[in-house]
Amino acid sequence: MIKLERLSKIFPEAERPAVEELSLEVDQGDICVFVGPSGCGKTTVLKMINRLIEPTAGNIFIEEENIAGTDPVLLRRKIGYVIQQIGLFPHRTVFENIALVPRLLHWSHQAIEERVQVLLNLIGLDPQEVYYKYPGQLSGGEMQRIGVARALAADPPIMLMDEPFGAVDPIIRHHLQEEFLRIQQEMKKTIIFVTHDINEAVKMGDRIAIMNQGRLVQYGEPADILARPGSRFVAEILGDDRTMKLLELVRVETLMTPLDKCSEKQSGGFQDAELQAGRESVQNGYSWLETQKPLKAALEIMMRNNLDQVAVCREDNVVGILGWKDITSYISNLERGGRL
Amino acid sequence: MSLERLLEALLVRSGPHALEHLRLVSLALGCALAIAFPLGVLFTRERFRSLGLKAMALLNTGQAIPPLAVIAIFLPFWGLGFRPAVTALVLYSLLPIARNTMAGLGGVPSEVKEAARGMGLNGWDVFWQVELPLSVPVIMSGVKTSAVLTVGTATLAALVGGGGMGRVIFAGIDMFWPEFIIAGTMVIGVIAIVFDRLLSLLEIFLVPSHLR
Amino acid sequence: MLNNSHRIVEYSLNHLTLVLTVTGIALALWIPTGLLISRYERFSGLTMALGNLLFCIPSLSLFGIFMTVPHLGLGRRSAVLALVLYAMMPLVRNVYRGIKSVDRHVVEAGRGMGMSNLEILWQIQLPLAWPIIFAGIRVTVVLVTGIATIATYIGERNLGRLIQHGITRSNAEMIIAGAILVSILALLLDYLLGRVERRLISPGTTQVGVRKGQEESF
Repeated sequence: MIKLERLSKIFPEAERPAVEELSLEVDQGDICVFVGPSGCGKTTVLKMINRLIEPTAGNIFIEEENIAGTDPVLLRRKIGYVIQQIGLFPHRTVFENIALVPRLLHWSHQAIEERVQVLLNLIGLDPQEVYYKYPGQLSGGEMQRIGVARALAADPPIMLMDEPFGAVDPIIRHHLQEEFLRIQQEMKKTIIFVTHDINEAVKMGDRIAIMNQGRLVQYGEPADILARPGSRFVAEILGDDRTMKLLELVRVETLMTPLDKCSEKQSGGFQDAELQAGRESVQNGYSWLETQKPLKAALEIMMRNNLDQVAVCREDNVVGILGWKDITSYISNLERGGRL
Repeated sequence: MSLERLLEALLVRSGPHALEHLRLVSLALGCALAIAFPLGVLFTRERFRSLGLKAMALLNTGQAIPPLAVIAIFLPFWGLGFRPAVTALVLYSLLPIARNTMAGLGGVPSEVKEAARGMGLNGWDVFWQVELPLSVPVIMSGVKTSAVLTVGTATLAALVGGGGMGRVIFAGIDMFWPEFIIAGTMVIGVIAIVFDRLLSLLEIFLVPSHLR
Repeated sequence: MLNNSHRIVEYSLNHLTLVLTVTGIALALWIPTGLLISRYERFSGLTMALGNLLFCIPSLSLFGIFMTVPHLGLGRRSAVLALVLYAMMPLVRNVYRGIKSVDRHVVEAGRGMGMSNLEILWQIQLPLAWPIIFAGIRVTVVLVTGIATIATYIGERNLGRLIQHGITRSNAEMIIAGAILVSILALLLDYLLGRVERRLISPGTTQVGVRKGQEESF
């Protein structure tokens, strides 16, 4: 979908290239997160994709088409763009802000009205309430949502997001991230996302590109990178708790042993009758969790209740068992290079 | 245009009038500073702030009064002479100084003042050690604006018997001699530059280097 | 007295038409200049320096010099030219400052969404710079109205003449009448421009407007 090919950018009078020989591909419908310390060139890469910055060397292809040959203004209208400072137009109402690109594209008034309604509902704002408000009358979180809605207005297949949730407080940021992932499940946009926050990168990314001093130092799926950082730099960026981060990514259902495959020994801690009776009866209702929860949550229950295994439930029924050993062997297996 | 006449205007006619001009402007500017600065300080104190806003509005409306009328305003009462001219120029140069004093002092971030107070400085110390040093650049730029405007407007003092370079320029207008007008303007330009330089020197003396 | 009031009407009308002519020409000339130097930054320093220089020349000299130029001479043409030059500094400076004051992230957002340079100028920069540009226009009009009085010395028959005669006759009433009439004219023009301004400026860009908008939306 998006292909960067030996991309370089050298700003005039700069000591070293801002971006150097960077190549990677992003698949349709994926979120690719660029992460790295400030000044590593991640924002420069983003801005080269919508040609706010022209590369010094190298090529960018969107769906096999080299963007160097396109009209930058028309190109940008097909790419959603969200920045940390949001950049809502203070002199325009919420409606006019969202309607901007559709208007540039000469949509009919009715189509624009409908689209704005749909988008406001999608981002969880009441159209009745915010329609005629000016940006100055909104909270930071609301402005950030409008910024996303504005970028989505003309339904562009690609979105560029530069620290889109960086300016709001942690609680609202968490909220916006969850909400955005929910929206993305339906939209399946191809998204380039820039952040300096590794936690956000791990949470949002289908793939993560770690950059340092203009170079791409590692590119891959979050779990792979967390399990096998390719260099000391990457390990440092990931932090002391990278295994814990990894445990947050994997759902318990992927590691559990299904109930029908449990041998007597494995379900040792539990009584058969307990398991058959459903989740409320397992160890007085404390030692179970749902299939969709991350491994970290399973670990939490085990540690708190001093157990070495937990029951995994779907709705009211126990469907599997997850043991401490399952988790540790999974991790060591991953670190040796094996896959799930 | 004759070079001879230009030289005559510059060398023979301008000298004494240039000195008059300097006297007019420095006296007017000094008085204006002595009046406008304390007023600006007063009007930025918490107790007088609302009064300050009203005074500002009044001064701004005063801008609509044409300079020609300001210059002439004391003439019918005091007759021709130096005194009505200087008094009029004082009125004229008050506004930029007062406005910038208020803007400068008002522009000091409240958290800086709060921090100073929090460390135990009293109101007097906060003013002398925090507010004033931080606002000197803005105040000085007001004084400079005022100086340049006053140097120009003092040309009109010749109309009310105050003398100054206006005498040379009006002579040029009456005789239709552009040489006199140009010579007069050149001398006024030099006077304006002299004031600007002197005030810049004063500013360097008053403003700590890292704030410039 | 009747004779006098005739004259006052004539002077006022002359004054008004002079101010309007100057304002029209100055806007047509200096607003584009301000826009150009905000785009072509390298000319901004020189242009502003020129404006400042012209502004510092005593208006009397400017009038006087143009008066002696052939084809300009005594009267309106010299007066208009001098006043238009005088208006350069406040207008160009405010247009430039206004455009530069627009939050660059807002401009970047617009560019990133695919607005052309012209669209960015018309739809973002100008509307957001309006409050500052308009302040410049209002200051200029008040300034020009006041300085136009001095043009009486090069033969303009406007309200300045009342003051001029007041000075030669040492007549306080005439001076004050002239001062008041000119001030009223200046304040009136300023008030009218204020009305226009409120129609032109988006409520989103001013604090008052934000409050007003709130009332409307509830």
